[in-house]
Amino acid sequence: MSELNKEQLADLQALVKARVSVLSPETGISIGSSGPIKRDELIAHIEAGDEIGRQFIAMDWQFLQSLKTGEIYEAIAQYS
Amino acid sequence: MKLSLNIPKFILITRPQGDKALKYLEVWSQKIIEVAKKKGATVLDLHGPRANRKEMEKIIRKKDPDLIIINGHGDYDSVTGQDQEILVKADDNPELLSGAIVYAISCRSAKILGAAVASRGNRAYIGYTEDFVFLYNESKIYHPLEDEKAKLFLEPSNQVAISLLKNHSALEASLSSKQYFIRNIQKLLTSDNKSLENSQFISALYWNFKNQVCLGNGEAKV
Repeated sequence: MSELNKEQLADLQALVKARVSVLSPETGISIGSSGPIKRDELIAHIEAGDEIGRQFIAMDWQFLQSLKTGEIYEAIAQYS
Repeated sequence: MKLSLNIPKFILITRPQGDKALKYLEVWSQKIIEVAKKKGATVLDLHGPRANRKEMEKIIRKKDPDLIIINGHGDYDSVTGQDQEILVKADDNPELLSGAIVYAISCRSAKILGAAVASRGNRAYIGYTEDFVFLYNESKIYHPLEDEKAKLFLEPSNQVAISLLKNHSALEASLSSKQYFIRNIQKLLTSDNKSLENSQFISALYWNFKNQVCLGNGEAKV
């Protein structure tokens, strides 16, 4: 993710925010050591670009890349 | 070196209480305890306030457990117990864990602490190199075992300990857990359920799958 320029990071941030927005509002998310958060709190973290927001963006980035490269399908083939 | 004799085994598990994430880990760990008891193991349950450093050190020195399961918050170099007290830290007391197979259901700890523990002795450390992420349903907070969202994450996680208790090696237990994460990804991909949330669940499952590691002696057994 560190290789992304400012514009790409902004696009990714918007994409992840849109993806999180489809979670139901009563979804709790446990990420990091500061305790679990609700969907709307996570969106605020993503908008703020703080540590929790960056961690979640990194997670989604890995997933989106795995779709693009096909790595997730290789993992499914290997482990199923 | 531990001998595989047919004698009762000691399983130490920490179950600190505090926020909702800890509540889920605390309750879902009961399933591990049930399996351990069925297998004839003696469970040393550091529950709630007992999940502190002093108690943990005392019990490990006295009982020399075969398997240590740590639930709690963590960081790259540490794992914590009740009130986020640091139980084990890489540059302080990693040797405390080096006589057992360890499974840390905790964020990040495999990266530095796990490596420090695994480099001592000939046992194994299974954990996560980055945050262990799970999603849950806030309306199920008083009934975590009925939470189908959390189940997607915590069953594959529990599989590490359950597999170890069934006499599989550390590496086999980790692979079994990873297969479980992938199985749940497949279930979501092929499900008739068209919930928009599924893609986010898959993202988190894949993250945990990628970040779970087995360090040290992968052939070690409980």
